[in-house]
Amino acid sequence: MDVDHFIGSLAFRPWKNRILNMSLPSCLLIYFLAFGWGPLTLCSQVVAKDELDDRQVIVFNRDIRPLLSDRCFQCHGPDEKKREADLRFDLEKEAKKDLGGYRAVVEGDLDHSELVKRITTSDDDQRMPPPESGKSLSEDEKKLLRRWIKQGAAFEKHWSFQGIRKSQPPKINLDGWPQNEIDLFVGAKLRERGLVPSPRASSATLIRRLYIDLIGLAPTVEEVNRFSGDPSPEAYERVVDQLLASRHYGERMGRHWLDLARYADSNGYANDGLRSIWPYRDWVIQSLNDDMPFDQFTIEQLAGDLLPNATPSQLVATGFHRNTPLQTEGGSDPEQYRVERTKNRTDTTGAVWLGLTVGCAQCHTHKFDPITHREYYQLYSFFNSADEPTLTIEPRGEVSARIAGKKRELQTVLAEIEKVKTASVEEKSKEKELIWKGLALQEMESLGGASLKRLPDSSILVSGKNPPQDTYRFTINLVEPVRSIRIETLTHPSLPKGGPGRAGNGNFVLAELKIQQNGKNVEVVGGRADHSQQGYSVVDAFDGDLETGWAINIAGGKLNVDRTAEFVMARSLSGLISLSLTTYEQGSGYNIGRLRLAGSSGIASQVVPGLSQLVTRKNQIEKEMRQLEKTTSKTLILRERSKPRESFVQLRGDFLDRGPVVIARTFDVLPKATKEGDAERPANRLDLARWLTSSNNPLTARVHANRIWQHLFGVGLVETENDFGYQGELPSHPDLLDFLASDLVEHRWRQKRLYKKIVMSATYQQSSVFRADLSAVDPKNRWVGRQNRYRVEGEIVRDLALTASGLLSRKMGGPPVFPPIPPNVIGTSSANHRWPTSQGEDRYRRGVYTAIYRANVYPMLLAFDGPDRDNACTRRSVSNTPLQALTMANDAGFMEMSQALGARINGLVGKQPDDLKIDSVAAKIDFGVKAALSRLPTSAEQEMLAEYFKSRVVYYRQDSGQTKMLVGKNDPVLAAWVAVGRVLLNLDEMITRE
Amino acid sequence: MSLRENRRHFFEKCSIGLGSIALAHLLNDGKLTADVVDGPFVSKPTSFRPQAKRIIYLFMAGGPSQLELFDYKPVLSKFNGKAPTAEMLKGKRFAFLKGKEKLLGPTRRFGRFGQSGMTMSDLLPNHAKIVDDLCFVKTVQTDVFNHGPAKIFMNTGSAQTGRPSMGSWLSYGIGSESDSLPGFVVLQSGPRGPRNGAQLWSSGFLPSTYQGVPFRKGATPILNLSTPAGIGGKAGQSKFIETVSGMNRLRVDRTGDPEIETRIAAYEMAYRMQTSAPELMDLAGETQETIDLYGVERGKPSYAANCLLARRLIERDVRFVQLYHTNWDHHGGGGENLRTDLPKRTAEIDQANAALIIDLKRRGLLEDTLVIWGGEFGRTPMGEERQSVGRDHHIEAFTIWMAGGGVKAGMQFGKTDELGFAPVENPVHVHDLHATILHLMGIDHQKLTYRFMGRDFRLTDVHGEVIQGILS
Repeated sequence: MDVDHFIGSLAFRPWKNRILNMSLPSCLLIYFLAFGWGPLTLCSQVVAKDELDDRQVIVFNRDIRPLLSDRCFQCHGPDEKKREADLRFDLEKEAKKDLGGYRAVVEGDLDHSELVKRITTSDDDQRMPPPESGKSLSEDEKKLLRRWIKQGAAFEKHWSFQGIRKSQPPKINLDGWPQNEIDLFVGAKLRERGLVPSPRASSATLIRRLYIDLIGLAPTVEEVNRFSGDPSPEAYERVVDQLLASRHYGERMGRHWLDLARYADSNGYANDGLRSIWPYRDWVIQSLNDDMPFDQFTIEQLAGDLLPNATPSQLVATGFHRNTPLQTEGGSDPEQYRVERTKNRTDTTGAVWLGLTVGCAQCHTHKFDPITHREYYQLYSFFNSADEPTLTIEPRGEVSARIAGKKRELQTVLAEIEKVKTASVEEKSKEKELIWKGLALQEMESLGGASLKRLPDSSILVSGKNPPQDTYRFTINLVEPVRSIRIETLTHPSLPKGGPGRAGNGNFVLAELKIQQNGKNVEVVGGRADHSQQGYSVVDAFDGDLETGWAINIAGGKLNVDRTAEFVMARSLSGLISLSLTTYEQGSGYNIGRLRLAGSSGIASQVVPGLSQLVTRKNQIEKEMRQLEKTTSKTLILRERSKPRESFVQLRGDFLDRGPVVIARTFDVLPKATKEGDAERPANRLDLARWLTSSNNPLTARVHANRIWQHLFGVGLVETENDFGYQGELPSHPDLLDFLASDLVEHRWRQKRLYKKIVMSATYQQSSVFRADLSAVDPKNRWVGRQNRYRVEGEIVRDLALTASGLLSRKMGGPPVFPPIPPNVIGTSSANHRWPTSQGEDRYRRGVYTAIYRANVYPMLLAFDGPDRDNACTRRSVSNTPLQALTMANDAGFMEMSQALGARINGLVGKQPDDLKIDSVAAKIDFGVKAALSRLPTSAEQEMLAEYFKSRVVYYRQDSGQTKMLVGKNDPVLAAWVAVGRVLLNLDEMITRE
Repeated sequence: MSLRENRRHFFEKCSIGLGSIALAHLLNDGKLTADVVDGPFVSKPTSFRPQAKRIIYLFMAGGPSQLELFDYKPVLSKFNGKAPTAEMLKGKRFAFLKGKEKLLGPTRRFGRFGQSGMTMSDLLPNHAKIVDDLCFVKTVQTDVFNHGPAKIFMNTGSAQTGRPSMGSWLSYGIGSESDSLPGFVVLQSGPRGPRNGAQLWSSGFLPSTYQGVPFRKGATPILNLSTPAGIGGKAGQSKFIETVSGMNRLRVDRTGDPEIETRIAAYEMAYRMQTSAPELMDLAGETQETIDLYGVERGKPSYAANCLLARRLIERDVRFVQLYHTNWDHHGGGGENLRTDLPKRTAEIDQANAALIIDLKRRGLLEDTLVIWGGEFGRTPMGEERQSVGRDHHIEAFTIWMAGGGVKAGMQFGKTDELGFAPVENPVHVHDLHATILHLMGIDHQKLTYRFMGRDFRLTDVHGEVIQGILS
């Protein structure tokens, strides 16, 4: 059966049904006749070489700027550090200025333009570009420059920096081909070149194309049947509307956006541990499904935290800029990597919204684009004042109630602890003096890296490093039983203000005293001190809480005197014990500076009744709360600091080498934001986000409209989707791009509407079949004389195979999943990689939910050009490699899908499972091909697959061992169908969007 | 279409798009036409005659101590236990040192070896046999002092991830000569893989075709190399490939898309890999003398086994083989001290390194194979006190060695000061090293470019000078 019979019922003009069966030349001939567009002429897309004559009107942006930018700007461009001869060609005034009796460019005057001399001379010392630059100009390029000067050397503002002009589509008669304005723009360009568009693709191709482009899944057999059985002219539009409304739309478009957001589930760098930021991924999918306007989508992601009364969802959105890699390696400088993350945010913002390579200006003024070194750090400054907290998303329902219960319980216990503490605070008095003996210290160390030195009076003096928090650990041999331990904190001239602590004023905070014997804690049950600071009771030093402690400041008295605290243990100890003193974490190192230890067999103070039980209870409740909170979700967000950080130009991009101070500001070359900040309120991320989406910013709408086009054609109207600057390609259809950009803005940035507009065009619906006439003159198909045919992304490869096999789980959202992975892929590096293989339907979730480790990407996704997740990926590369073939053919996951597809084919409803009658086999092949490729097989394909099937039946009948290995039982027919399913899943067309 | 024709078609048509224009630029200084659009599986012409055709890069992850191995500093012994002067530390940043550390003299005995009289410590006795074949560069400098970024830097010329690795640049620039194995293979040994994992052999912004393929332990070194159970083995797989290709060819007829031909060829090469890779891993054909030379224990993964495998890979025309051997991070803490842990590491590599050079030489492979040994940085002249005294990361001067294709043998290049802080002559930055490696492979490092984000990127960024002094 032929594909065209299957296409069936859509309203086609007669010639369209015929075309696929003809050789290309004859079908084209008929096609041209049908269109009446006149004879085919071959004509170059650029100025044809032999047509260069003086009548050719030079367009600066099209013909000259790319030349100047590529060959001259490196030494005669924006970067003043690299500028030669004080001459620059990026500014008209500078290019035409007097250079001391001569000028580089003299309008209309070839003889007096130095540029002309320099590009034509044969003298190597004079010639530009200089031979050692490795750059040169061809004869045609020289002619272009001469002609430009002759015609008056007009400059133009770079196209993408000019305002967007809503252009009217050309008024042109295209014989009923156009479906909407898009086709007028495209058709006019094609006609200019003597080309005609391709015919509409078959309905089978169209439905599959729509499904892949809009929801990233293949249509099911039922959906294909329904579409092909719907003869109404609105059938196509109905599918479009249905797909745009599908919840899978957000998953598909989210896949694109998450590439830009550099989303991954791990921290990156060497340790690469898992992080929880999947609520951001779900936010993206949900927002796209809700068709959140792109301006709001932008604002919430860049500055959701700065919106008045920001909702949790708006906070989650700021996860966009938390998708930076995080360096957690020991010994790394936190500030250095904070700066790296801030630069990453700056560069990503430039790439995603402005389509500019702003990162090039990190170390020096941009070599090509008008972005100075200083301006880079002005943009950087917007991101420099964000803190990086974790947001706990409040759980709902039962968990929430249980946490609330625990919280109340904790409050009660805390109140009781407080009561006990207050009641038991006891001033040390002479009456209760015990006999104290020095302790035999065997070892001592500071875990924070301070130096401990024993003085002749047996006291210990601390010097050297004073970390924010320290623990002193002593190993002590108790030669006789000891029940109480005394700590004297002593003054010393080497300490701040004389001590006894190491904080600036001589204070300290002893957060916890811990005694252990044989590795087991020995409880401290009571204590007293000769003085405790208000709110820092000595009881706080043995309450099991590192956030409370004993300190000695005194209102109206002298802080810097010797103090004593005495602690009682639950029982007498002798032999080796370990005593550790941990201080309270404070910025300026509230550690003890000098101390002396002693022990006594007596009981130093009253035992605090029940404190230890209360503390145990409190720790238990806290542990339970932590367990409960684990079931709540956390995500990474941004939060603006109340006081902004100061930003500097970083000379040569080195954060240690500070240049002038800068404030947050946008680029001079673009229209200003309405609010650029002032001394009272510096501009912040919210101002930036509003500026990016304001109507006078010419870039954001163009960049995003171009991206939407790219999602539907594989490549944008601007081919360099990540570079709208001088070095980028010019748009193939500038008027169409502006039309789409203004259409997007005018309709309140609704993206679904623009997707629909494009897929409804005849341009989109063209066939992607290659045409010799187009390939000859437009090999890259920039004029869109046909649709493009290309392999889908790795995640979609997986999704399509899952759909065909029937295994796909349509469950949405939630933590990342861990589908089965080949052995020895995870856990072989030093990183914190775990792969707790998912169970049940989570094994068959869409690729967008697969856990991504930055330093160890899921192998199947890696083989299919999974991008680097540390930087924004604006377009995936599409390679075609043997490793992909090995994955599709042999990977256990794909084998499982082949087995499922084989079983579906064998068990086709209405046919006996093991029926080998010709009719039945043919019907099953039809079904299999439809499941995999959304169409019926051609007769040649039907024949080839039937033959393969038969040969496999013969083989499996002979080898029951192999049969059982493949399908788990001796069922040769089922095994043969699995083999057929495997062939289908491995076809080029299976993973290609046509 | 015969298989042979397919292959040719594949090589001719396996376009990778964007890169091809820049490539044409590399090859011909703009003189040749830009029609050269080749895939990754075909050898491509170089800028000039290469001295080396392939590389074996022995990457010692963690940063081996040059002061315990090659860079003998007797004066440092005299200062042992003394604090370095402020002058010595000016402008330096360290990962873990706090500023109070004392200088630490060499902890090993040194001697002179070979006709070249090269200084080496007693940790590498077998290197005495090959020292006259090696070229020591004692003044290598890098930019970053943490393991992750420094490894990325040594491999990609940038401390940030996202750039292509050296092996990817080579595959992109001059292609592969093997039609049944990947052109860029990564082998790993040691208790764990190197930090940053796959990012070290990533193709960055180049198509994934060019990424390094990490071989796994065992008979099937490449993922998914075995035909699944129940397919009927080699014959069944062959029939399967034939059918897939037949079906794909029918689609070519209907769509006219040459990319399908590439897919057909990719399946055929995958099929060849299934045979050639296990054959590669099978050491049955190696003589016992060779096995003993390397110190390989059959069936047991080791650095030595990887060295032997590296030789077998380059014999099969693999362009770039990178071996990672981990745990050279000798700070002085548990399992990372200079006294007992460093000797374990050196014992693992000493015999194998010597065997590799000797074996390559006697097979006539050393003359056009470049062997490189080194880590991501070196270690400080100051001691670092942990459980024992070790050394911290040092980025201003450390030693690597090179051998074979195009480098002088029995040579020592660059000199550090008396204490080993910094070069006093001939500093060699990582970018210079990259420029030199490309040069030896016949590539002008300034011309191997790839246009990405509006800019022509290079392995050497905007830096790099070929180290003329070490070229033979």
